[in-house]
Amino acid sequence: MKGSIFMDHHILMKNVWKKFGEITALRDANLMVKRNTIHAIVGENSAGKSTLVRILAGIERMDKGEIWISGRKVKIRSARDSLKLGIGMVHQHLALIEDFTVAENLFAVGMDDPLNIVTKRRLRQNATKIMERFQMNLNPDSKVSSLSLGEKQKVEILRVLKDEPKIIILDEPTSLLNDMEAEDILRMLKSLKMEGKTVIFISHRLDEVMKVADEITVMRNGRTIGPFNKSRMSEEELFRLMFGEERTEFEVKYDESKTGEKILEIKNLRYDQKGRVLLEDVSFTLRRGEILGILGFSESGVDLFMEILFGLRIPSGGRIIFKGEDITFKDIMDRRELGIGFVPADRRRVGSCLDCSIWENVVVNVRKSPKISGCFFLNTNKIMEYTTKVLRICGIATMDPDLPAKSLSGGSLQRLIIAREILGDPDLLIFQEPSWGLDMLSLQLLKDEMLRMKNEGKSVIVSSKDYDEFVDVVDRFLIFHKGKISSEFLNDGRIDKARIVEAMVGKVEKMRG
Amino acid sequence: MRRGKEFLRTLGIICLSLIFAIVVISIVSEDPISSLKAFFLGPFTNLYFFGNMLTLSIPLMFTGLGFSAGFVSGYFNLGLEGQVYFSSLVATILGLQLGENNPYLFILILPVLSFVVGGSVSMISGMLKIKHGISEVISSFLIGIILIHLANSLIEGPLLDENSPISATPYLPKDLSFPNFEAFGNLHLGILFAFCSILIMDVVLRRSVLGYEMKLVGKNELFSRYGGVKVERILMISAFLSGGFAGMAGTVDILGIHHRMVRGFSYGYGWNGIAVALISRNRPLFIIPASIFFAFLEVGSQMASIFGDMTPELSKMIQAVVFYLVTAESIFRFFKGRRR
Amino acid sequence: MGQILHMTFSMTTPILFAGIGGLFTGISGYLNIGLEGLMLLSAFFSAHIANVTGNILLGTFAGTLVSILFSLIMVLLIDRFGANLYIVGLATNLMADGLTVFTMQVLFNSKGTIMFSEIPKMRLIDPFPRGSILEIFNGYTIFDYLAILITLIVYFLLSKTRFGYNLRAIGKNREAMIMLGINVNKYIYVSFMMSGLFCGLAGASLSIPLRSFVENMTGGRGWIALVTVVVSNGNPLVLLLFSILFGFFTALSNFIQTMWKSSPLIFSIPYILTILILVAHSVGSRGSMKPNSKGDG
Repeated sequence: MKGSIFMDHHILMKNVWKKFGEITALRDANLMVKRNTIHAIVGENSAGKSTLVRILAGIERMDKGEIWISGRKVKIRSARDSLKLGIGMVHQHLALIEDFTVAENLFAVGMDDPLNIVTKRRLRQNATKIMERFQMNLNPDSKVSSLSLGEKQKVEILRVLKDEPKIIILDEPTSLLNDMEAEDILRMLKSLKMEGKTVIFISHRLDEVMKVADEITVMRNGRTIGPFNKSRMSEEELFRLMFGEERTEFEVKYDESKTGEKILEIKNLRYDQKGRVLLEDVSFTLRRGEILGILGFSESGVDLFMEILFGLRIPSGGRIIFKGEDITFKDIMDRRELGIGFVPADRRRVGSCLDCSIWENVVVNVRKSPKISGCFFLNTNKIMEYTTKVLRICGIATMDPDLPAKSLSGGSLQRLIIAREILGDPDLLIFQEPSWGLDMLSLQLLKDEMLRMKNEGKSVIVSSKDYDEFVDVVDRFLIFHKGKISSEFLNDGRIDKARIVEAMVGKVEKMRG
Repeated sequence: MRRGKEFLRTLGIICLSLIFAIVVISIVSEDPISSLKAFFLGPFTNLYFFGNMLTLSIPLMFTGLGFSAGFVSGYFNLGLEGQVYFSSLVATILGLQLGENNPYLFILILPVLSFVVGGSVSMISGMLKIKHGISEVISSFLIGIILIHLANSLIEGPLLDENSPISATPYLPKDLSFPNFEAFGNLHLGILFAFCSILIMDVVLRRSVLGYEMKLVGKNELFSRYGGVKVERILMISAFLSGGFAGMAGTVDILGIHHRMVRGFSYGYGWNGIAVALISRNRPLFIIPASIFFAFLEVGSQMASIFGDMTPELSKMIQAVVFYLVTAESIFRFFKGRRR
Repeated sequence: MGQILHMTFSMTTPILFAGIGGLFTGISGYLNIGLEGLMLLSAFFSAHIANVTGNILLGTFAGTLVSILFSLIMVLLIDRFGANLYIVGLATNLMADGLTVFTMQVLFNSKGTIMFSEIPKMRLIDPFPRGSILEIFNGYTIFDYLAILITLIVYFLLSKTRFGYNLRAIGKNREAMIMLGINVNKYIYVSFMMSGLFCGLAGASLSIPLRSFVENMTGGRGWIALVTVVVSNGNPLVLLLFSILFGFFTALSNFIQTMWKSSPLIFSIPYILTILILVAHSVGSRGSMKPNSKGDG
C-alpha cells in the first residue's frame, strides 16, 4: 500500500466525504500537497474549501476518507491532534479576545500549564521576539480592539506560528484586507516557505494565487480538480475551471421603459462601527418593476446594507426614501406596514424562531392584518387556514402547524420564510442570499415569483455571493466592495462574468457595463 | 406527543420531589409512619384543612401568574416578595383611609390598585434593564428588599396598631372584606379573582396578538425585532403584568383572611410563585393544579410538624428540589442511559 | 468613629469573600445568584462542626466543603442537564434556607438563634506594631486579614497567570477559546468550585466569630456581593473597594439602629446604595455594556 504517492506528499487527503445534514459539502475530495510548497485552494463560495481544511485542522470530522501526513496514515479527531501533527490553522473568522492586548492574545491565553505565571514583561519580550522573527511591526501593548483588520489578521497568524507548526493553513487570510495589507500577508507566506514550511491557503482572488502559489487545487461543488502546477496554468484557464463557462447569453434584457416610478431612493448611506467605516457613499435609486441584484463577498458591506435597509441597524449617515417617505429611522413595524418585506440570510436566528411553532413563524408578518386577527384577538381558524395554505405552497402540507419550527428541514424552513414574506404582499421584497438550501425546482419557482412581482409593478432586491445565480432574472447588478458600490452593470443579456467577478474582488473601479 | 412528554417529565419531577420528602421524613423522624401520614393525608383529613390548603393556593396562583407573565417574554422577576408585600400595604393604607364609606366599591378598587402598584414597581426594573442594561435578576430583588424594609418600617411605625399583640396595622372596615366559604376553613372569594385572572391571562397568551408577541420576545428577540415587534414595549408590558399579578396576591389575602396588614404575612409567596410558574411551564391553566400542589407541600409540612416531629421548613427543601430539577431538560434522558 | 471603622471591616469580610466567589463565575460569564445560599449553608455547618469539634479550622473546613458540594451540584445541573443558571441559583438559596432551619430544628429542637458555646473565642490579632499608623488595622479576627490576603492572591491569580487569562477570555469570547483547544468546561467547573470555596469562607466568617447561628443570618449579603461582582468589571481590587463601601454602609445602618432605635428603614440603606451604584456603573460604561441589538448607530 505504500506507493510513492504517499511518500512524496507532505499532506495527502484521499476520497474525503462530508455531509452537513442534507447538504453534501465534500464529495470524494482529494488534496495532495508537496513538502515545502505554497499550495492554494481556489473555488467559489461554498465549494467546500473551508470544510476540507477544517477537517485537516481537526475542527470538523470527515464522514469517510483518509489522511496521510509525511507518508503515515493519521487520525485527526480534535484540534489538539492536529496541533500534535504539526498543523496550525489561521481561521477565517478571528478568534481573538478584543479586550486583551496583542501580547496577551499571543502568549497569555492558551492550552499550556494554567498555573504558568504571566508577567507583562515576559509577554512583551516573547511578543517582540516572535514579531522580529517574522518581521511584523505591531505594538505588543495595544489592545486588539484598536487594531485594523489587517493587523488583527497578523496577530492571528503569529499566534499559529508561535507553536512552530510545519504545516500552516490559512483560510481566506486576505479577504478582509486592503491591497497593502494583503501584500504584506502574501510576502509573509513566501518567507514561511523560505523557512521550510508547507503552506496551504484558501483564496478567491486569482491574482494573489498566481503571485505566490506553487500548486493549485480547484474546488467546485465539493469536488476537487488538480493539483495543477502554477507555471502550467494561466489565470484564464483557472477561472474557467472555477466558474465554468465564461460568457452566457440570457433571455432577459433590461428594458428601462417597462419600469415604473421611483420606489426607493438611497442617499449617501454610511455606517460606522467603533470608528471604522464599514459602509460609505451608498446611493442609488430603484424603480417599480425592477429586480436589482446586489453582489459582493462577505465583508463587502452587502449584508450590512440590507440590514440597514430593513431597519435592523440604524445607519450613521444618509437617507432612505421609500415611496416618497423618509424611513431612515422608522422602526421595522412601520417599514413592514409601508410594504417592505425581508428574507434574511440568517434564517435560523433572524428569519425564524426555531423554538416557536410553525404557525407562530408563519403569521409573524400578518399578525395584525385582518387575515389573521381582529385587531387584538387572534382568530385560530383563520390562522390554521392561512398556515395550511403556506405549508401547501412549501410542499409540506402534511406538517402539523403546532410542531416547533426546528422540526423542519433547512430547505423547508427557507421555503417557509420565503413564502411567508411573499404572501405578506410587499411592494419591495429584499432577499438576502435566498438560494441557501433550495433545490433547483424551488429556486426556479422563486425566480418565477420574482418575475411575477416585477410584472405587477413591485420591486425586488436580491443579494447573492454566487453572481450567476439570479443573472437570468435580475435587471441590474450593483457590486459592493469594501463598503462601497464599486460598479454597476445593466443586464443587457450579455454580461461578462469575468468582469463581475473582477469587480467583486476589487480589481475594477467604477465602470458601467 | 411533545406535550405528553413534557407532562410526563413534570410528573417525574413531582414524584422525585415527593420521594425526597419521604426519604427525609423516614431518616429524620422518630415516628416516620405518623409523620408521613400527617404529611400526605393531613391536608385531606377534613374540610377545614382542605379548605386551608385551597386558601393558601390563592396567593400562589397570583404570584405564579405574575412570574410567568414576565417569564414568557424573558423578564426574570425576582422581586415578587417585595411587590406582594408593598402593594398590599398600599392597599391597606387606602382601605383604612377611605374604605369606610364605600366598602363594597373598595373590595374591587383595592385589588386593582395593588395591581397598579406592583406593576409599577416591577416596571422600574424593566426600565433599568432596557435603559441601562442592568440585569433585572439583581435589580428586582434588591428593590424588593428595599420595599420590604420600607413596608416594615411603616407597620412598626405610624401604622402600628398599639393594641395588637403582634406587629400589624389596625383592622380594615368591617364590610371591606371578601365573603368566606365557611365550611372550607378560610376559603374566600379571592379564589374567584384568581380563577378569573388565570383565565384572562390564558386567553391573552394563547389567543391575542399581545400574548403572541410576548412569547415571541421570550423565545427569540432577534426574530421578534425582525417581525416588527417593539421589543422594549413588550418587555415593559410583561414587567407590568408580572408585578401586577404579584401585587394582587397579598391584597387578596388581606381582604380574605387577615383583614389587616400583618408583618411578614406574605413571606414565601414570591418564591413559591416562581416554583408554581416553572412547573406549570407558562401555561396559565396549569397554574391552578401547580399552586394547589405547592400549597399542599406547605400545609403537609405544617401538618407533619403539628402531628409529627417535622418542621415546616421541609416544604422549602422539597421546593428547592423542584427548582433544581425543573429546568434540567435532559435529566430523565440521563437516567434512561446517557445518550445525547 | 473607631467603632464604626471596626464594624465596617467586620461587615466587609463576608461580603468580600462572597464577592470573590461570585467573581470567579462572573468573569467566566455566569452570574451566580446562589452566593447567598452557599454562604448560608457554610455559616451553619461551619459553626456547627466547630462547635462539635471545638476546632475553628475543622469547622471552617466542613462548612466550606458543604458549600463546594452545592456549587458542584449547580454546575453539574447547568452543564450536563441544561438547567437554567438563575433557577439553579434560586434552588440553592431555597435549599440553604430550608436545610439550615430544618437541621437546626432536628438537632437542637429550636429555631431562630442558636448559641454555639463550644466554639473557641476567636483571638483578635495585632499584626501591626503599636504606635505606627497601621495600628488602627489591629484587632481583627484571622478571617478579616485572610479576606484581604485572599483578595490580593486572587488578583494575582486572575491577572498574572495563564489560568486567569484563560478564564477571563472564556467570559469574553467562549467560541474563540474553544477554537484554541481550551477545555472550557473544565474551567467553568473550577470557577464554580472557587465560588463554593469562597462563599464557604464567607459563611464561616459570619457565624464562627459570633459563635452563633441565626436563621437566615446572611440576610441579603450574598446579593450585595453579587452587585460588587457586577460593578467591579472583574477586578478584585475594585471589588475590595466596593465591599468596604457596602461594609461601611451596613455598619452605619446597624450603628444608627442600635444607637437610636430608629425605624427599620435604616436597614435598606445598603440596598438603596446598591441600586444607585448599579445605575452609576451602567451610565459610566455606557456603550460597551449596553445590550444593543440595533447596532450602535
